[in-house]
Amino acid sequence: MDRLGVTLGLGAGALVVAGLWMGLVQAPPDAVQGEVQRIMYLHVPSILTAYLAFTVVLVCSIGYLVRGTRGWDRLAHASAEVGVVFTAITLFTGAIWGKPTWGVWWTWDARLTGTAVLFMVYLGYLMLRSVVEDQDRAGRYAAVVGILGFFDMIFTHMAVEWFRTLHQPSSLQRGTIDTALKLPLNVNLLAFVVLYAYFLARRLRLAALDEAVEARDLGE
Amino acid sequence: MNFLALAAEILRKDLRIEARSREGLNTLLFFSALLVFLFRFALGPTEAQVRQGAPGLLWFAFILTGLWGMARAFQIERENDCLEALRLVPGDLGGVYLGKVVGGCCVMVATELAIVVMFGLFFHLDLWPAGGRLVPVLILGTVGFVAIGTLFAAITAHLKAREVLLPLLLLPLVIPVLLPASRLTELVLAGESLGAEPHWLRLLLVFDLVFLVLGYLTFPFVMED
Amino acid sequence: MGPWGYIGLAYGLAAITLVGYGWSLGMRIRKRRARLDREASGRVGVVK
Repeated sequence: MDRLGVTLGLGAGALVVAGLWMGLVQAPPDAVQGEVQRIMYLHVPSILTAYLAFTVVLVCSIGYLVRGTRGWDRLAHASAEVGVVFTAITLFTGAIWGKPTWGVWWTWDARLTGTAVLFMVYLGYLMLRSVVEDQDRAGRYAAVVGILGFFDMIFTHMAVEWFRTLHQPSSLQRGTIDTALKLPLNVNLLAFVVLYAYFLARRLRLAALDEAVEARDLGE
Repeated sequence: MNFLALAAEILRKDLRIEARSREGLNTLLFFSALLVFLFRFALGPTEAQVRQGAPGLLWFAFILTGLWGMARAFQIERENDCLEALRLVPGDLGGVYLGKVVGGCCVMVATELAIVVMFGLFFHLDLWPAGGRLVPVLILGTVGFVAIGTLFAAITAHLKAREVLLPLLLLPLVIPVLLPASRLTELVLAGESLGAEPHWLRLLLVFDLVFLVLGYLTFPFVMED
Repeated sequence: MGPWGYIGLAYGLAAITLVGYGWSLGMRIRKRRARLDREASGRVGVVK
């Protein structure tokens, strides 16, 4: 493994352990929701990391369309894949958190629905990439989805906000979150972001190897 | 060729094809009639149910026929390698995009009007009071749908799995357009004016505009080969 | 299910997802590398 990968991997591992301890042991239970609220330390960092990942997809997609160099496309593809993983975590932790607090696993709550739409958009992105053989063409097509997808993320959020929502307004937005909960949340967020960087580095390594294999095959 | 002239040329060509070919609009209309009948059987004999769900059902029917219309817009280009010719069009490819979008909107809005009329007839909806306000809502919703749809129809036209991939890519992306559009339809059908909830109208206008601009900017990359 | 049951379920599934994804990345990298090595040693296309 390359040095960057090892450093990021070790860093992510240490931070995840610290985050787990803070979230599960050190943080006090929530005044209203009790212990179950500890799922927040998983749910909130994972969606914020997914937003970060899809923002990277947007930037790299634009970069690829403007510059046309493979590096941008590889980064966009890698970030989309990792973003989908984090979105999946957001979805099922949301469902698991929803059961004891709202009484149901799934509800057509605005934010939950928005996240599900997001998940489908980027799943479509990955599917599109997998059916187009030619990498340059796949990159161009995917870049279009990556750019539209980002705006879609914002628009879906805006549109569903108007519907009545069960969801507690984001604690971060309200600024009502207690400091005793804030530190564990931030540590977990940092852990997730470093984990994202680690996965990204590994995924880029894989993409580079893929292209090497392809180049070799063409050369033979 | 100048951008608008190119768009007008593409539009004229598409509408002429639409007018001359039998299978296009006719099949769409037949399909729409079928859908309206299906709603009746799916929802049971009580008309109240259908009337209550009318805005949602209408947009559901629009999406189904729209998907078909979108796919068709580029299928006619695939025949005889017309796509290749489109790519070589002199001037701004964004003009081709604009022409395709306007053409797609014309076909889709025509189908939508037919569906609305059939809906009104079969389910005894009093459409006259809503009519004038319904048309702008239909147009605004359709513009957003077609702005994204044209882009993805162009992308999937080359692919083997296009029948599956087009709805898969398009449907999640058009949700923000469909939400305000169906909500406004509900308002209008209830006899309210468009200004009753102006934020929905604003939202829809902004979405339409952004998706049109994004489509215009990215379309040349889709056509490039 | 008590609150810790839900917490365990959430953290457990998240752990499986993350470790699983990391593992799948590792396997895919390993496979590509092995293929490149094999080809580099000149045994392309040889079925043993």
